[in-house]
Amino acid sequence: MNFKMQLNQEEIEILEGKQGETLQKILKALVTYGDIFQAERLVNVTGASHMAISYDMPAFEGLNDILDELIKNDIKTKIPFTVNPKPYDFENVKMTGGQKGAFKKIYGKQKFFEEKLLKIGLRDNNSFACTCYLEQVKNIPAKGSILSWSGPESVIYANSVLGARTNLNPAIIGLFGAVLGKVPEYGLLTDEGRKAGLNVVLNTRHLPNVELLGHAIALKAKGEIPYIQGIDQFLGRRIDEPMQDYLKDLGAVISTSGLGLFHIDHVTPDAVQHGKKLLKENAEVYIIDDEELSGLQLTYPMPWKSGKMKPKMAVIGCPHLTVNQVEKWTVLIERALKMHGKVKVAIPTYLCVDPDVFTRFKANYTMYNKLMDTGVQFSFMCPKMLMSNPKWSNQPVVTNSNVLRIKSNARYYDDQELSGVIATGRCK
Amino acid sequence: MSKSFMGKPITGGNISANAVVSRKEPDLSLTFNSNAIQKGSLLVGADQGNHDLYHKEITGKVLCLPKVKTSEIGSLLLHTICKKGTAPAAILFAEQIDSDTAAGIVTGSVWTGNTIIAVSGLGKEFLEYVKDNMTVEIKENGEVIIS
Repeated sequence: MNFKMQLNQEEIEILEGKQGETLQKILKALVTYGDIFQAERLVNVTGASHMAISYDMPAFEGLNDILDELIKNDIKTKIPFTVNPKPYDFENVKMTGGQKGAFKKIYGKQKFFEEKLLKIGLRDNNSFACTCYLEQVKNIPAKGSILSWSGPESVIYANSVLGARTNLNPAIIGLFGAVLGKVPEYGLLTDEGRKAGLNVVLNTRHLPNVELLGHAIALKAKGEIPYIQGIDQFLGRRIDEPMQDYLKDLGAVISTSGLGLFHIDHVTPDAVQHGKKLLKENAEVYIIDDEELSGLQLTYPMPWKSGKMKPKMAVIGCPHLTVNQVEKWTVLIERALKMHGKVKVAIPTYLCVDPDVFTRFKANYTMYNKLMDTGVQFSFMCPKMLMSNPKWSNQPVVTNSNVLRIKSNARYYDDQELSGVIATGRCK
Repeated sequence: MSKSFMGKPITGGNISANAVVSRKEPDLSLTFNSNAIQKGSLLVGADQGNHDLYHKEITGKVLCLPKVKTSEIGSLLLHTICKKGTAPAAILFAEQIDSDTAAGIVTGSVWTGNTIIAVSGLGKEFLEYVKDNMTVEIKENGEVIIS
C-alpha cells in the first residue's frame, strides 16, 4: 500500500493488519481520505466525539455493515460520544396517522440503530443532543483539543466558540476518527487552515438580528472563514450566556454555507489569542449595516402555496435552545398572550431542546409551570428531520430559525413577530 | 476528433465508458437516495430538480459534473451503491472534489472492493466540452480523453 502521508510504527502495524482486519480497513480509509486533502500525518484525538448521523434509513446499508462489523469485533470509540437528535418524537409532537406512517417507513429500524450506537460507544440514551457542548449536556471540548466531529452546527461551535480543532467531517470519517483516536491533520486542524479570508465589519445601530447576520455572512463567504468585528460593542467581550446564545445561533446559520469556523474580534479564543493576524493579506472587506440586513429579509420567498394560509405549527429551537433561551421564550410568549387577551397559544408550539437542558429548565418549577400553562410543549426531536417527512414538508410551519427556513418550507419570523403569530394563530 | 484534459487523480484507474453529464451541482442525497434502497436494479437519477440526470442511467457510466452539493448523507449513499454494485464507473469533477463524495468513494472502495474512479479539477472547459454518451477514457495519471 502506497500512501503519501507519514505514518508511525503503530499506524504501519495497524495497516499491516496486526490489530485485526476491521481496524486495518478503518485506518486505510482514513489515510486514503487524508491523502486526498494533502494531510501530512495523523494526529491523536484528545476529546469525545459528536456524530451527525442519529438515524437509520433503508439506504444506509453500507453504514450498517460497518456498525455490525464493529459490534461483532467488540470495537468501540476511544471515548464515549454524543450524537445529533432523534429524527422524530411520537410522544410529544401531534401527528396524523399518515405522518407517523411516513416516519415509520423512513426510519423503521430506528430502535435497532440506537442500540447499535450504544454498543459502539454512545454515552447514554440522553446523548441525542443538538447542542452537546452546553453545560448541561457536558460534551465540552477543551481549547486546543483535537476532535473527530461531524454535523455542521456542532463543528462550527466547537471550533469557533470553544477554540477546539475539528474538520467538518463526513459522518463516517468522524466515526472512524473516533474509533481509531486519530484524524488526518489538514484544514481546520492547522493554523493556516484557520485564517480568515472575509473581514466582516459591523456598522449597525443595534445588535443585529443574529439569523439575518448569519445568513448575510453565509451568502458572502464563498468558502472563506469570516473574521467579524463589532459584536463586542453590543455584547461585550466575555462569552457569558447572552453571548453564548448569540454565537450558537450565528454559527448555525453560517454553517449552512459549508463553513466550520468563524472568528469574533476580541471574543472567540483564536481571535483573543491572535487578533487581526488571523486575517489573510488579501481578505475581502464586507461592511454590514442595518439596511443590508433588512433588505436581505425582503428577499426571502413565500415558502407556502399561498400567503393566506394559516400556520399549523410553530417550531422554535433549530439549533436546540439553551436554558437561557427557553426562559426568554417563556417571557415572550406570556407577554404576547397577555397583549392579545389570550391564555393559551393558538397553534401547536414546540420548543426543541436537548434532554438534559429540559431537565435543568424543569427544575425551575415556577417558570416551567408558567410555560406549561400556555400550552407550549417541549420536544427533543431535530426540527430539520421533522420537516423532511414528505407528509409534513408542505405544512405551513413558522419558525424563528433561518437554518430551518433554508432547509425546509418553514416560514421565518423574528422572535417578536413569531410570538404574535403563536398567540393569535395569524401570520402578518 | 478527441480532446484531452488533465486533472488530479483521486482514486486512479484506467477505464473507458460513456458519459452522463450534469451541468448543475447534483445533490447526491436526492439523486441516489431511492436508488440505494432498490436491489439488483440500475442506478437512475432520482432528483426531479436536476433535469440533466433525472431518469438517466448512471450505473457503469462516467458521471461528469462541476462539483457536488454537500449533504450529510451523500457519503453514506455512495457507500451503499458501491455495495450494491450499481455505482457509476467514475465521477469526474470540473472543480474540486468535496469531503462527502471523497468519504463515500473511499469507504465504499475499502469496505466493498468496488472502486469508483474519481478525477478532480478538470476545469470549466471540460464540462463545456463533454456531452451525454460521448466516450470517456480515463487514465491512471488523471488524464481524461473525450471522443
